[in-house]
Amino acid sequence: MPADEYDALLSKNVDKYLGQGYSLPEARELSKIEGMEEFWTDYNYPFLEDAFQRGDNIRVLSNKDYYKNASPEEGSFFKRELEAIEDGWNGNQSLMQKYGYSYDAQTFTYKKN
Amino acid sequence: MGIHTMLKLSPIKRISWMVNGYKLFLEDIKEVFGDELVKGCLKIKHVNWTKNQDCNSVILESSYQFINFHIDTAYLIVYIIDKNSHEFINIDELIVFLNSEVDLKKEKKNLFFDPYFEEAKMKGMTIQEQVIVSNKHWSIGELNAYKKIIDKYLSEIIYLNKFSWTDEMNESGRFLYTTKMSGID
Repeated sequence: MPADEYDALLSKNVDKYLGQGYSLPEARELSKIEGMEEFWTDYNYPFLEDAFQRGDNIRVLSNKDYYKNASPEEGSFFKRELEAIEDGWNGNQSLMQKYGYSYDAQTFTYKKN
Repeated sequence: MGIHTMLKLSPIKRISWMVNGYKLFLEDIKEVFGDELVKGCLKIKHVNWTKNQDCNSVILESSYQFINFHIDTAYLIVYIIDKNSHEFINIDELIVFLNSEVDLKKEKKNLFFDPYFEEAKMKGMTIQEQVIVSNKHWSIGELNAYKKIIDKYLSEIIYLNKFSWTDEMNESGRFLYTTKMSGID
């Protein structure tokens, strides 16, 4: 999705919540949550699962232990991605288990067994 | 074996440039911390721009600390980085560690102030127009809140170096990570 379409979606959601009487920070927060859930479900999780299905090596670029233990706000989608890989997201089997991966701590990479 | 997939480059990172930075982020920071920048208590140490020429990270520097303002997936994230050790922590965590009674979420909400949004409302613009105006200054409301919160809870650390937050945290048994991020060397 092009950035301007995403911005329009975001604006629409802020509009919606402002129209319902929420303050600007409340409307922003609600629209962020709504937008993030939509993008996670429609884009990020399928992107990640596709990579596992293909057998890609998954190289972690940031300290995964730090982000896995971070708050949802700070950890953002990186935290979710790590949880989806290692523990499973929203009741789904972990991607590591599902596709037979293990983590190589020397190279910071999830690799297909 | 297939190609490498980089986790931090997942689709949302590539398609939503606006909420991983925006054109006026640096200007908003300059506006909010204008007094400190003029007085020299804070300096702009480093600014990062995306390929779309949006600003997504600004590091301010006091004599003793760095403060990194960073936008990630529409969230404003603020870190404090000790200049000596480069140990860092999310500024919210530090404030709550030092002031366990504080309801920081509530305080941030109460101190949120977006002057552009308020002006748009005063001018009688429609909700859609107000949102268009305020989206151009996506984080200024939160930045204004952080300015007041930093003044209230962290000014002695950031501006006066009256005590070491890293020592306090280490003594409490809290493990701190050390950053090697570019822009602070």
